[in-house]
Formats: sequence, structure tokens, C-alpha cells
Amino acid sequence: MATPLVELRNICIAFGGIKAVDDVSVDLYPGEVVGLLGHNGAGKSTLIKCLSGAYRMDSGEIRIDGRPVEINNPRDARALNIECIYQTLALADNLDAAANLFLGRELVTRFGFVDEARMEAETRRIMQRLNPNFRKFAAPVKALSGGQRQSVAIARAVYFNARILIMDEPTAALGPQETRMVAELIQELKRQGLGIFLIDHDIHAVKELCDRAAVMKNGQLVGVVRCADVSEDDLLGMIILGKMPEHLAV
Amino acid sequence: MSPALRQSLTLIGFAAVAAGFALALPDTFPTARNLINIAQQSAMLAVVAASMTIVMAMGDFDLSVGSMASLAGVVAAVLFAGGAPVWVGVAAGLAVGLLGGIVNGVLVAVVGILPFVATLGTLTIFSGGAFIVSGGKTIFGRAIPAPFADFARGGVPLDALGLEGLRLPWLSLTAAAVIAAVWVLLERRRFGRHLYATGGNAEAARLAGIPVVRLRIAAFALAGLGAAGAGLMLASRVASANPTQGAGLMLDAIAAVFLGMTMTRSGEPRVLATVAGVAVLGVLGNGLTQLRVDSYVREVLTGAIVLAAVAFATLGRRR
Ligand SMILES: Nc1ncnc2c1ncn2[C@@H]1O[C@H](COP(=O)(O)OP(=O)(O)O)[C@@H](O)[C@H]1O
Ligand SMILES: [Mg+2]
Repeated sequence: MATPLVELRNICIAFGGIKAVDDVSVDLYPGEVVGLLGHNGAGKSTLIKCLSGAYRMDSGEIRIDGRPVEINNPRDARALNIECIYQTLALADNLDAAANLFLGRELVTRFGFVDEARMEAETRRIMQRLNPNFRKFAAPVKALSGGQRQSVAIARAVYFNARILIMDEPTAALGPQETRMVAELIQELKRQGLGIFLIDHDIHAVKELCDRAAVMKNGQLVGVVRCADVSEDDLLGMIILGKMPEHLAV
Repeated sequence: MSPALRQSLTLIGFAAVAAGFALALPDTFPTARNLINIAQQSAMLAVVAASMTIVMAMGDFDLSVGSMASLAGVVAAVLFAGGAPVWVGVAAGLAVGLLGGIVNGVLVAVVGILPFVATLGTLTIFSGGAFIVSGGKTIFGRAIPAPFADFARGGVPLDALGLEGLRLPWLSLTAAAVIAAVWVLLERRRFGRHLYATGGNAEAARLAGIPVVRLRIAAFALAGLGAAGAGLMLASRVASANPTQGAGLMLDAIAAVFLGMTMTRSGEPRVLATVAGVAVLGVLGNGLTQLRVDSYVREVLTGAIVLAAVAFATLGRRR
């Protein structure tokens, strides 16, 4: 088989003695969606934050295209074309949609001045695709609804041609229609060859959208399964019992 | 309170006070000469307040600017007294400001001390340093080179505008240049965008790859530089330097920024709004002095204005 796009190997990270992620290994192939499942506090967000540079893991190794990489901060991750939609969205509430979309990567004119016009035009362009009902381009994002804020965070992750996309509960604040649009977006990005980690509480959605699912419990990996090989009940069993389904257990 | 109401209240209050002064002092208040006077008296405050806006944009603040202004003035004056040329004294004063600002930034951003505590500490250190450097004395007279003192007295003649004998002071022009530079930095450069983002959500800024630690150090460094610049302007204006002459600038600068915040739509610090805040304080100070109101009463008023402005700004945010 081809080289994985991402290999997370034996990742460990503890907070004050509590092992939030304990020796977890998962990989991700180009054009693949891997779901991360588990109860609240299982360690899903913490695991992907090691990949996005938000946290520095205590031990373990990350490989991109088969090569070991150092990810010490979010800038390192961005330089490796890793984009992340955080569960908290990580928006600066006092800035507008365009300023958030381009935060840290502002477009500037030849003289180094912030190019508001171009950033707004680009924001309108991508929002047209992601959320055509979005209108509040001039307002600070704190004035936006949960769904609108979420679409700004999604737009930011998609705009910069990521190769590796991390989505931590991207539809938590979205209505059914917007959720469907995100599902379509994921499928489109997958076709373009991106690798996607998708954290979602909706087992049905994970089974539908993901090629494989990794289940975590108490910081440990329960197992990684192909979604075609398991039922939703099997996945639920893995989440609750922390055991592989019987027909797959070795 | 609606933002529009909050924004206009400050301006309405300001207009009312200015109109009151104009009525009470028809011959001396609403004149071109007096306006130029106010612009000159307020120049130092404008510089400190504009640079204070830089740190306040990211939600921090700097209590040490007043004592830094004193320290920079004293350092320059002591060098002058030792025979150093003007540029050496000025450069040394500015360098001290930059360095002190970097110390503030490191204490806040690297060590992680709250800005209030860190800059209260350095306020004391800079203030003590100013006493040590000057030996507790005022440096004046022949020690201060004439070109340095003349700077504050000079300006661009305004005869062409029909204002015979009046000059637009260099001090005011310097302040205008600083304001313009801070405006470009905050409103048109990525640096400013990153400062406001950090003020809005420091963690989001970090996750967006913004080097928040370096950014904070740079902002405090600029605040220190601005404070030192104002200290030198003040020393030039009074043609002397003593270790406490900048002390009043800190509270006034914070007051100006907060007053400005009541005038912006978002309730955020914006440098042009800060300038409006400086104008309010400048007009108030000038009018009250002309009315012979005791300077301690003015201090009470300034304190009350700060509190009222903070209260407004807080109420505006809590919607
Ligand atoms: N910054 C942090 N400091 C301390 N504990 C943390 C931190 N981040 C996560 N944790 C802990 O790590 C564990 C895993 O959390 P998290 O990764 O958010 O779980 P999930 O995303 O699966 O709900 C939890 O016990 C949580 O309290
Ligand atoms: Mg989570």
C-alpha cells in the first residue's frame, strides 16, 4: 500500500500526571477520512492538537509522507499544510470574518499594508461556496450565530489548500442543512486527495463519511476499524466498553 | 446601553464642557492662540497615550510610562550636563525607553507576570533609577543645551494662514507624527491586526501561528519608547529635567485611552479615539487652569473621568 500521509506513532501527553493521550498510534492516507470516536474526555482533541501544533507531545513520533517531522507550534503545522478546525473554533471575537479567515496570514499590498479589500473579496468568494446565506462580513464574529462562526472556522481551514485537515466536531453548532453541506464538503475534499481526521459525536455520520474509525477511551486507543466492517452498534460498543467487536477481536 | 448612545455621550459631554469654557472665558479660551497652546501642552500626553494604545490594543497596559518619561529626561539631561551633544542625549534617552519597555515585555510575556503587577514594579524601579541618575536634583540652566530647549519653543510660522505671530509648535508636529505612525501600525499593518487579535483571544492568535510572546514584547518596547520620547519632549519644554516630572502622564494616558474607548463603536482602544481622549483632557486642563481651579481639584476630576470612562466602557461591553 502507498505511504501514509500522516503517521501518529505512540503519542503520549499528560497534564499534571493525568495521561490525556496514552500511547496512541493512528495513520491517515491521502483521500481518506478517519473518524475519531470516544466519550468526552477520551483524549480525541488532545491527540489532534499534537498534530496541529497546539500542544507538544511528551513522547511519540509524527511522520508526514513517511518522514519524521517536528511540530513544535501551530506555525510548524501550517508549514506542513496541516489545517485544523478546533472544537472551540479559535476565533478572535473582536475581528470580522475576513480578519479571522486570514489571521496570521493576512494579505498585504506591495508596501506591506493590510489588503482589506482583497481579503474581504476572497472571504466572500469562499463563503459563497461554503455558506451562501452568510451575510455578516463587516461584523465582529462575536455578533455571529454559532453556525455562522463555525462556517468561518471551516472556511479558514479550507481556504489555504491544506493537505491534511483536522475537523474537531465541525458540525456541533450547525443545523441539518449546513451539516449536510459540511458532509458534501468533506466528500469533495476527499476526492481532491486530502487526508481528513474527523472528530464527531454522531456515529451515523462517522459511519457514512469515514473510511476508518479510531476509537479512544480514557486516553487509550481501543482500536481502528474499517467502517465497512462494523455496524453502528459495534462502534457504540467500542466507545462504551472499550473493546473491539467480537467478530474483529483477535 | 446602546453603542451609539455610549459613543455620542462622551462627545456631547465634551462639547458641553468646551462650550461652557467658551462662555466663561470668551477672550482667552476660544482663540487660535489658545488652541495652539492646548496642542502644545497636550503633545507629550498624546505621545504617551498613543503608545499606550499599542499595549492596550492587546488587552495589556503599562503603568511605568510616567516614570519612564522622567527617567529618559533625566538620563538625557545628565549626559548634556557632562557635555554630550544633543543627539547623544536624545538617543540615550530613547534607548533607555526601548530597553525598559523590553524588560516590561519580557516580565509580562515570558515570565508571565500580570501587566499590572509587572509594570507597577518597573514603575518603582524606573522612578528610583531617575533619582539615582539625577542625584535627586533638577538639572537645568546651562546644563541644558540651547538647541534642545529651543526645540520646544519653536515651530512652523502660521503667518501665511493669517495668524500673525503664531507658530505651530514642533512639539505638536512631533506628536502628530507619532500618532500617524501608531495609526499606520495599528490600523494598516499586520502587527496591529495581530495585536487586536491577541487582545480578542490570545489563544486563538497563538493557534493561528501568531508569535504572541514576541508580539507582546514588541508592543511593550514601543510603549517604553513612546514614554521616553514624551519624557524628552517634556524636558525640552521646561528646559530642565527632574526625576518626577513625567509622573502625571501615566494616569492621564490611561484616561485618554479609556475615554477614547467610550467613543469607538466596538469599545476597543483605537488610536484616533485616544487622540480625541487626549483632546478632552487637554481642553479640560486648559479651561480649568484658566478658571484658576486648583490643580488638586483637576486631579480629582481626571480620576473621576477615568472611572466614568471605564464604567461606560465596561457597561458597553456587557451587552
Ligand atoms: N490543557 C489541558 N490542561 C489540563 N488537562 C487537559 C488539557 N487539555 C485536555 N485535558 C484533559 O485531557 C483529557 C482529554 O481531553 P480531550 O482531549 O479534550 O477529550 P475529548 O476531545 O475526547 O473530549 C481530559 O481529561 C481533559 O480534562
Ligand atoms: Mg474534544
